[in-house]
Amino acid sequence: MISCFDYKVPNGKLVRVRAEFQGELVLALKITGDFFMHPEHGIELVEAAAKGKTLEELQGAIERAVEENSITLFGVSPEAIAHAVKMASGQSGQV
Amino acid sequence: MVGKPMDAFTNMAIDKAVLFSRPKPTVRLYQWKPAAVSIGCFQGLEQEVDLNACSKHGIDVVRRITGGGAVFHDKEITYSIVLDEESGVVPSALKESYGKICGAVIRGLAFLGVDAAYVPLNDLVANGRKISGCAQTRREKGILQHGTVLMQVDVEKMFSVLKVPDEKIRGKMIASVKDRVTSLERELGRPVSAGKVMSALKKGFESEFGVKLVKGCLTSGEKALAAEFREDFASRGWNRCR
Repeated sequence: MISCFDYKVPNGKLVRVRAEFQGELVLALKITGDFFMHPEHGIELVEAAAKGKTLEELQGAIERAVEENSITLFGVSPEAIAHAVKMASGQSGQV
Repeated sequence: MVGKPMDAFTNMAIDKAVLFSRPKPTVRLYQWKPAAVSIGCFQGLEQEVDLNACSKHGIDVVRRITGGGAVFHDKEITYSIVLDEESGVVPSALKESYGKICGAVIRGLAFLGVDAAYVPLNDLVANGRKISGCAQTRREKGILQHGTVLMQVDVEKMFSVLKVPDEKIRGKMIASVKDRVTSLERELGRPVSAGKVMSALKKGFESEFGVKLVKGCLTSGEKALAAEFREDFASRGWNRCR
C-alpha cells in the first residue's frame, strides 16, 4: 500500500510524505516540503533510515539518523515526520 | 556583482559556481529574465508548480540547491552572498548566520525608508507582512545565502503558476497571502526602481559587515563552472528529482 499525507508542522513548515507500507512496516519513504535541512543530502539518509522500520520504531530511527549524521533541521522534526507517516498509514485515499 | 537579468538556470548556476570557487566574499544582486519559479531543494516539482501554466506564460522553473519554499521571481531583486565558512564573517551557528546576513538586508531596506524585522529562520517582515525571504546552504566549506526583496507583488499572477494545496480554498488562500505579504511599493506608497533597490542593498551589506564592496565580474574559472552547472540546473533529472 502506498499512501501520502501532508502535515503542516505547528510553528514550522509543510511536510509531505509518500510512504509504502506492508502492514505496520515502512518499505519506502519520500519526504518533500519547504523545510530546511543542513546538510541537504541528509534527506536521503533520513529516508533510508525509515526503510524496514515499524511505525513504532520510526521516530527513533529518524532521530538516530539525524544525530549520527549531524543533521540540523528547521521547520520539521523527526517527531513531525514520524507523525506524518503514521497519518499516511491510516489514510483511506491510497494511491 | 551586478549584471543584466539572466534566466533561472544561469542565475542558480552562477550562485553555485561562486560558492564552489569562493575567491573572496562575494555579494551578487540580480534579476530574472524571463520571470521564473524556483522551488526549494526538498520540494516536489509537480506538487508545487503548475508546469503547464509556466510553459504557457514562458516562465522558467528551477530547483534550487537550498531548502525552503517555492518563490515566484518577477518584480523583485535577488541577492546572494558567498562566504568562507571559516572566515568568521558570520557566526558558525546556522540560525545566527541567517540573522547576520538578514541584518544587511534590513539595513538596505532602511536606506529605502522601510522598517523591517527579522523573523527566524528565513523571513523579513515590514508592518507584520513578509517582504523578503531567504535560504542558505553550506558546501565545500563555503556558505551561500540567497534571498529576495519584493518590489511589487501580484498574488493572483503568483498563484497562476504555483499550486494551492486545496483548489476549493484558492480564493481564500489568495486573500490570506495578500494579507501576509507586502512589497516595497506597498510600504512606500510608490514604485521604486531596481537600481535604487540594488544600490540600497549594496549599502546595507557594506554597513552590516563594515566593508566597501568593489564591483567585480565572474572569473574565467567561475564562468566555466557556471556553464557546467547551468546544464545541471536545466536538466529534467535535477528538476524532477523530487
